[in-house]
Amino acid sequence: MLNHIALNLIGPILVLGMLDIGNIILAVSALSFLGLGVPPPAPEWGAMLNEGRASMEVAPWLVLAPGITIFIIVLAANYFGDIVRDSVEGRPVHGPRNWIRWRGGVVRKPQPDAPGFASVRQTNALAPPPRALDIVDAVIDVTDRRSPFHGRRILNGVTIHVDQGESVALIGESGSGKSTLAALVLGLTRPPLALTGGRVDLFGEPTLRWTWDDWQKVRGRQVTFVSQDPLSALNPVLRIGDQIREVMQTHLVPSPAVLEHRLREVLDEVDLPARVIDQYPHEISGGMRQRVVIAMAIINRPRLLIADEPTTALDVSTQKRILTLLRDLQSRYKLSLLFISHDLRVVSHVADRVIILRDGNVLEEGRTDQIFARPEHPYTRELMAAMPGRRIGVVQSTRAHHAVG
Amino acid sequence: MLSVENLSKRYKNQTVLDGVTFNVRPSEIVGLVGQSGAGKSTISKCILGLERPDSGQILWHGQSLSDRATRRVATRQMQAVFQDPRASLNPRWTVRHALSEPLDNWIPRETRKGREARLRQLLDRVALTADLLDRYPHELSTGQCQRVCLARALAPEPDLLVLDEPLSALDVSVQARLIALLLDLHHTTGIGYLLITHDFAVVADMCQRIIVLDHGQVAESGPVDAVLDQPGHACTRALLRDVLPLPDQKI
Repeated sequence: MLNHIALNLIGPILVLGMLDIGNIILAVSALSFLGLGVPPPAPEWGAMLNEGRASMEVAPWLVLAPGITIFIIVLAANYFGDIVRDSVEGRPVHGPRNWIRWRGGVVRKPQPDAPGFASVRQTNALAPPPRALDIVDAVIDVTDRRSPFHGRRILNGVTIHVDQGESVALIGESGSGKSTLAALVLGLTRPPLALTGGRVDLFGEPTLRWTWDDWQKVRGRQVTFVSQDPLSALNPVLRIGDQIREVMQTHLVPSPAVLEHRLREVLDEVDLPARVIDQYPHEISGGMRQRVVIAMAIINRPRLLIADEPTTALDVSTQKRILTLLRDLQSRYKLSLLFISHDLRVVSHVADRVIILRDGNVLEEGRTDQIFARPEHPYTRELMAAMPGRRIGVVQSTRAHHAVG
Repeated sequence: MLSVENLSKRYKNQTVLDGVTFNVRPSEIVGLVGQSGAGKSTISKCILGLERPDSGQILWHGQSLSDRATRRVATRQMQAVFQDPRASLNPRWTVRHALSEPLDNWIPRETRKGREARLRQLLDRVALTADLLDRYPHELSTGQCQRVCLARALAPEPDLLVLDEPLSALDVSVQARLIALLLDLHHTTGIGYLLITHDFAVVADMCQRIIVLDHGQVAESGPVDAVLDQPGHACTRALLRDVLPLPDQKI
């Protein structure tokens, strides 16, 4: 037991220890400030603050110097704990390491091709409407030298498009780059990955030069995302109603009445009872949680919905209901759907068109019924043969025939 | 081999299991199917001794598992593989370390050479190569992790494996390979499986007998062919209907 648990506890213990150092420094300073801590002849920051307080207006540095020192030392202790934890950890540290640098590095001037989304481009009203999504020759490499996978190519010239109101499924196994592609469409490609070639157009507008702020306006409004794990997509300490409202308030400025009306409407659309508004995510089932995430994804009436394995974590019956719901919403609101999955059963239930991805390459593409009736590529055939439960299909179809006859 | 008799369990004011009775014969593959909340996982926890049933008993070769001596014997003869392979492996341990622990417990005082040969043989049985021995779980794919879990479960040479949703975290083609591997192991060593899942598709391909669980009760049980051809319970029919048709089998 000790063997299994103790070593894995080192990280959290170090962090707690370092946080405590910070807390102790703060506590001692606070006590000294009140005159209860270190007795006067010994120098102490809290006491210095107290002494400086009297002459604050004449000589503010007397207060500022110890104040700033306490502040910096406490922060430094916390940060140091973080670093020690990371270096003790055997696993690679996840998360965007140079997030801050990357954000700061972006040119923040307004771009000429920033997302305006004029409802219809007047100039070419006669031209066919632009595609919802157009990815052309996208190449994504691991460009960060510190990454152990430096130099590896994740997407190798992928070209896909999704027409407006179309439902497209992207099939691939783990490592095929399908989730990287989802991140690309959401503008979330971040170090160690980088787009090194090709372009991504959303609704006919090139996105290459969009800044973080530009993407913020699009994400959750025009393009939304439903992930595999609804529990991690929801905040455990906020009520569900508040979380759904927030999505709408972030992008639009609805009056309270409109907001409430839309909230009820969207819950109705995803077939959830109104009582969930006041519940917390842990109080409802996995299938209901995924419905909540879908409600958040459609409340702003987006034009493109990306669903990354939305049903993998659910049981078979819930799975079917969620898929039917997605399909239903898609056809009712002429929503474009990019559906990502490894499960051919699931895909054939929702998609008009299928794209098969492997190792960052598009292997095969075509209408769902065609691909599955006559798979061209050996890999597609392999995937088809791998599906378990072939005999259940036989049972189901014979029963259906009986029912008809 | 394993028989569960009249098992009942309540959490607070909710009845999870209500008089469940079934058995698993030696070298038999039994599927325990049910929707989420039907009590499947509670049964596996009770069998593995992670949860104490309120009433009823679990017998291992005719002896109650609440008896300490029997439990000790059964712990060796009955092993488990769980849904999330990454969570089941210690992230700080290499594959060698993970596989050695059960061996240290069950087959102590082995020569270094003999141990090495045994480790290689274990990996070979789950179709992994020996060069993975010194890797950490984060350096393996999920499918490989699940095979390592399987190898670890096979280390004490058990008679029964409790497989609790072993395939849900895996890709389709990896699933197919693992199913083939499990069936192959069954044919060569005669090991029995209790497969716990919500997915009828997997059960149909693997099991000899099915037990359908509904709201903590056994709704239906019988040989696979009989249950599939003539499902007698509404719950079974619902589960079967909810298996999405294969793309090339659409009606």
